[in-house]
Amino acid sequence: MARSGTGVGRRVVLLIVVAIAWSVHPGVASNLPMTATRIGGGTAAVTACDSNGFTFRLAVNAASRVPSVNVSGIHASCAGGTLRVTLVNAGSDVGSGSTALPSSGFSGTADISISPLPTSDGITAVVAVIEGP
Amino acid sequence: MSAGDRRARSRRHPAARALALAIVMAFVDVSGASGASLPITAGNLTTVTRTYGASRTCTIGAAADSYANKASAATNFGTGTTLLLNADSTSTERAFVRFDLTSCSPAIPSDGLVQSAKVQLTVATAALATRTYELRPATSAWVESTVSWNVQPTVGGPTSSTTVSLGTLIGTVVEWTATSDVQAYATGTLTDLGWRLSDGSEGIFLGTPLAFGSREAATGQPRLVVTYLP
Repeated sequence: MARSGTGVGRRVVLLIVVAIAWSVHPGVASNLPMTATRIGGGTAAVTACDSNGFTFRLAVNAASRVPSVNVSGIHASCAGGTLRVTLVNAGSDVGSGSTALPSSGFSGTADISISPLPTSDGITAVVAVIEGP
Repeated sequence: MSAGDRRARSRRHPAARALALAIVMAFVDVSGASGASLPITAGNLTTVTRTYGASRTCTIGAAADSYANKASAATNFGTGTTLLLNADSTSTERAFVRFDLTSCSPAIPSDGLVQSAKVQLTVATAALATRTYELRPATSAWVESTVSWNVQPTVGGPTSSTTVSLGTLIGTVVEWTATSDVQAYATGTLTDLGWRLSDGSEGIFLGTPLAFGSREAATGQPRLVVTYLP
């Protein structure tokens, strides 16, 4: 009886090992119960570091193109974030740039170099986004 | 032992029960980890949009203008009806002109966008040579009634240049692009002190002057035409 029990145990162990290996095989991933509810179940709080808006001052060079944008009035709590500026002409992006706002000693102002350089008569709006901090 | 007995023993085997529990937990862990490891974190996202208003065009007459002559270095020509430019080495002539941008309505805001700005002068005597004239921003103050060759404002680098051809007739409007300067004046990057106009290659032998109408002229006064987005 002892030998028979050991044989059954070995077969059970072998079966279990095979089952585990099969269950974690990448090809089975699609069978995992990853429902929309499980994946999207969490929530993320997204807040703004500045609620008073910015002031944009565009530079225009001798070729009547816009090489840079000065953004001022940025709240100190935005320090450490990344500022992205996009120049828009009737809904289409015509130039953009970004810069990291320093974490310490931030003055509330940033100069963004724009690429490519749009002409000053081909801009209808400026959009700025700060990601973080 | 029958096959039924062996199945019954295997179900009761302690090792089998322990490992069965382990495999169940493994499935639970795999399925649970799929949702728990998603990178959903709290954070800041700030968006600001500045949409410009409809395009406006503002035409301004000169608030002050004059010219200076090297041969009459102490003389002021602020009340004259012409502005003279001359590359001649002994009687070099330069013109100065200033416009009041605040007269545009609505005002050009400091966060506005200048799409185009042109300084326009009207030829008052036919051009006797083909010459290129440059526009430079004044970087120090000057007064229409006192500016002279001896008392000239300092200037920045050329903003733009325009060539006037031999034979250009009286009444022809000549213009210089000043978009970059006017945008800088509007944003406060530069102080609006007007411009200097001069020959791009001064100091030649026997230069010939070219005359434009001044703000005191009956017709063809200097103008600044600005198109901007408030």
